[in-house]
Amino acid sequence: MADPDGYWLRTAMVSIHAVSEALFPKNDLGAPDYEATDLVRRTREYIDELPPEQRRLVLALFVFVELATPLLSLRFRKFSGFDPERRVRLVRGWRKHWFQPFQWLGDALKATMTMMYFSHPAVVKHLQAFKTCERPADPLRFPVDKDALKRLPVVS
Amino acid sequence: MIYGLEDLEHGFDIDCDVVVVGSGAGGGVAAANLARAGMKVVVLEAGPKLRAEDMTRDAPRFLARYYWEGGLRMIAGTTQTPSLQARCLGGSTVVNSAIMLKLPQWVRDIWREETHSGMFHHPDFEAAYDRVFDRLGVAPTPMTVMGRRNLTTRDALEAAGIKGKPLPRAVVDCEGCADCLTGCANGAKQSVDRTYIEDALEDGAEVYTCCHVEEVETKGKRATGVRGRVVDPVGRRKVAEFSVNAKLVIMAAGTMHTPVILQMSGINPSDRVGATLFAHVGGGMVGILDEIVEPWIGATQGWGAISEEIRGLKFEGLWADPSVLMVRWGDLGRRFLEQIPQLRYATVIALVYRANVTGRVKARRNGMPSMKIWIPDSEAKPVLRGMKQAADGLLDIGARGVHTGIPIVADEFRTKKDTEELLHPKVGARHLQMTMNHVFGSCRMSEGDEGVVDEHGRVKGVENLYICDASIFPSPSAVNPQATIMAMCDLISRRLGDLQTSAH
Repeated sequence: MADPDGYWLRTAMVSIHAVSEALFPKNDLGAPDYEATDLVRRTREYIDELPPEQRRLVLALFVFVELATPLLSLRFRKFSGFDPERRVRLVRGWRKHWFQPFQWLGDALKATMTMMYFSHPAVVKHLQAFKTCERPADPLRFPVDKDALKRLPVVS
Repeated sequence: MIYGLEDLEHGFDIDCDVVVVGSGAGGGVAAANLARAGMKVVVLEAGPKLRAEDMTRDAPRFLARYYWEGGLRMIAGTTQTPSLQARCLGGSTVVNSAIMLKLPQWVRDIWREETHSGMFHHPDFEAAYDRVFDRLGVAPTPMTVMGRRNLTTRDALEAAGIKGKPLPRAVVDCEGCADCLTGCANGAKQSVDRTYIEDALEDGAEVYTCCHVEEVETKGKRATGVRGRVVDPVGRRKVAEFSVNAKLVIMAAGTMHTPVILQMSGINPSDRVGATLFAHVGGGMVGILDEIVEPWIGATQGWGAISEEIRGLKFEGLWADPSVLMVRWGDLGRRFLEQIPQLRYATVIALVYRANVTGRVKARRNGMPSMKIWIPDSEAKPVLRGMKQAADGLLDIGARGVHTGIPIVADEFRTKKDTEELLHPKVGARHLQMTMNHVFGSCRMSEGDEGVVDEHGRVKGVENLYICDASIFPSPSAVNPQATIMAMCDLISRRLGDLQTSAH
């Protein structure tokens, strides 16, 4: 992992794409999917923001998932080789597994992609989330309703 | 004067009366008091000074930039537990919910036994709390900024027979935007960088940011200063070296970094530095109500309750950005996408428990801490009982479902019979879904041999070296630690500066 370019990074990016597509799939629910939230590119940017040790750790997580899935699933296919629904079942199985390191693996995948998903303006809009105060310089713009709390009934 | 990376690219070598390592709750108070006492004070902070424009609601990006280890710090042991610790001027006071609670009387009694010191029952300690509360404008959270989320927390807890009250917080004119985790861009939160550090600057202190201290320098048995490296807060590149020579060294780098710096300096009285580590354990739950809650507005943590039935257990309403809150909640894939719209109807209750845990901190080769905490299953049971009470309360007020994130129970509780699962013998400490942000006791205070510092915060066996942070707590505080850190450090630094410690 010393050289972040080349095979390891490509493998990590394939894995990030595969996890994103599985966890935030195209849907008819009106929810933004992995493409609408630009999940793969933004995850890469997030990883680049991390301190070097954590950057290596997160990249290693995705590389491990991609390359170790043949052993973990006993199906002799890389993670990205499964269809998205099967990938979801794999991650769900790891999160529920009795063996704690599998739980950590599943939770780490869920946590990383969920963090990235919810920090996209399309998801903020989908949630109908808003704030009561402005952050004018913030690139992640939330709708603002300054009087929202004042309209709530106050019970002493 | 505050120096940043651009001022320090060539390093520095300076002299002062007092060097304070760390600018959080303890370091800020100590710096202000000692500067007020007329000493030449230098504060060293590993992170940068945050401006309002640095405080983005893009939580992953904010965490990656301004939290230790990019927000991915983990405590090993019973399980892998995240621990969020800020790395910026003002430390974690910049990103916490500013809850200010005094140490309960029963904990003070325990601490007296553990430290063999009467400090926590002395009127001066109460006076220290009063000074801190006065400086920070601490007041109960007004009902006008509670929002439905805190009010439903109140209703659920009351339905479970748990009486609470508005939490006292160090905020002035809070608008209830629930953004505490990524800093208060509006300046309502009275974090140390906006209060005590400002006071210290007014009295002539100098603050050096982006300065990572690696070692306390000693001559014989006397601390003579510190040295370290200037670090680019974005790329973490080490750009220069520095050293500060001082008559007095105050370590205030926090429970995880203070013991590491001491260990790397070969300072380890009775081999007790980092030999202990405590944390509050806990859990949380998301309740989905029938009415729209709009959980993203209202004070981050406005309502809280101390359990009368389970000693050491505290309930509180909570909010964090969904990008942080949802990392463990809910299913995956399409099922998760189906759950997401429910968030508008969600309320969150968190639990904090003063468990008897064991732990330790060790310095890794790269100067970062390695932490482990072991939680006996017996200590998880009170948390799980409390979770059942709160979940039942949520169901009593009409919640459609309650999610705990605990992997071996149902994804969603819909009836009180479902919540019985929380009491199943198989559910243990390793299943608790929590973050350990309240950590203490890695350099415990005690007048006995087991202590690293005495009741004056003085490191035993080393002259002129003091500790002013939560690492000196003898054991967990049972409540949010900020107020107690500040009161203890106010008292320690006032004694050092010969300032008045009594109320009058």
